[in-house]
Amino acid sequence: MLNMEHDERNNILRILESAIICVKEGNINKLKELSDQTIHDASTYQDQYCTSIAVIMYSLFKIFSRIDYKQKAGWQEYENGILSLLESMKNNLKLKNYSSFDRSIKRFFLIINKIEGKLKLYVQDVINNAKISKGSRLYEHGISLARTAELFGVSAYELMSYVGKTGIADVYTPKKNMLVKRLTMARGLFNE
Amino acid sequence: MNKIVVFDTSSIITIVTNNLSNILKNLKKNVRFFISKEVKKELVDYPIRIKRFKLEAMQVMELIDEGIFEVSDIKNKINIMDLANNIFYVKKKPLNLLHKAEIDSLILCEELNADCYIVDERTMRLFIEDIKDMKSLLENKLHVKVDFNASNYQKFREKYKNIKILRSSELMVVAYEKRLMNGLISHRYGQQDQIDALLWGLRLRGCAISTEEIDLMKNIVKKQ
Repeated sequence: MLNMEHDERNNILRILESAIICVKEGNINKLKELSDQTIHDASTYQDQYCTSIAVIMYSLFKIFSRIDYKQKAGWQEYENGILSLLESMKNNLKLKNYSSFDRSIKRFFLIINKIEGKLKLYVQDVINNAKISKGSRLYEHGISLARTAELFGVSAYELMSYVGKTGIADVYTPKKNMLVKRLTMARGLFNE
Repeated sequence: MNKIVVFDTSSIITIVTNNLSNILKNLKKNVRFFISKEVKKELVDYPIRIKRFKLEAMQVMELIDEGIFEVSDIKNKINIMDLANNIFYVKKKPLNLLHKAEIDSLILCEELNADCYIVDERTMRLFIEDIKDMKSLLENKLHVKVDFNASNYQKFREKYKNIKILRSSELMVVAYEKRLMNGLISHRYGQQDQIDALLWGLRLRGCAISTEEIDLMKNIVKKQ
């Protein structure tokens, strides 16, 4: 897909502009807010741009929250690389240059390969967890488990295991008689 | 005549990751268990390539090889997915809520005239059982007006209104009542504690059963 709806583009632009400021100023809480704001668009538009931006924002929040990462070798280079990529995403999107915007997004996930030492493993881990965490939020919003796994490129096993540890199962409780009805049906089904 | 049960991906994941797959073997008397080809892809073909879930994928494959699960392809290729994913709209854009694997399982239920469909994830269950609650959930979570295409829903409902849905939780509680858990759960603990452990185990690995339902279930399980 190399196109984008007007509202979706404006929302992503706003998020990228704010994220650049947050990274420069070290405003971690705002990064978290931006990450939360990406979920509605990811649920409704369901394209690779929205889901990637959701993962990127959550990853940035997690990565920049860790003061100890900043002491690791290669951190400064990584931070500079991230800022340059965010600028590139913003500028390409402003110009409606979707293929370049798409490439910048992909580079965000590839830049990890340039990091040396343990930092690479940490960042890789954060990004993988971000996909599952954001995926679980989409599931919470009503997108099915398999569809969410597909959108974020994670396995259904990973998503199930994460979702189970959240309170999502308590968001909706079926009517009380439903449980009795189901159990009666199950008993009937396996009655020899 | 054998009864027919169709499983989706989520329910099998919950059962396998709780090491309860042996229960299925013992439950499977006069009942045939089916999965669709798409579900097999999600349970075996993709995760077999991921080290973290390779073991689980192999365990499911073993259940297939043993004949516990029969894999069946769907015959009806009419695009039910288009219908299902054009029921809810936000800003005139359809919400794609369901995946091909989930839809194929539903079609399989229809084609095999299944007695029930075992689904642990919430969205498909709401689609079949309570579309109004599905709409409310979407509106509450997305904070926008969600439009509803009643005509598409009617067509969808007409095809699938008779499908009965269970979760792994009801299945395992019945197995418990049939004493199939003996030897798996220590008899040192009382029934309420055992049911609590069983249902929380299922929930923590993804079965969408609420805390309220777990508490209720503890009181309606037949005394052993």
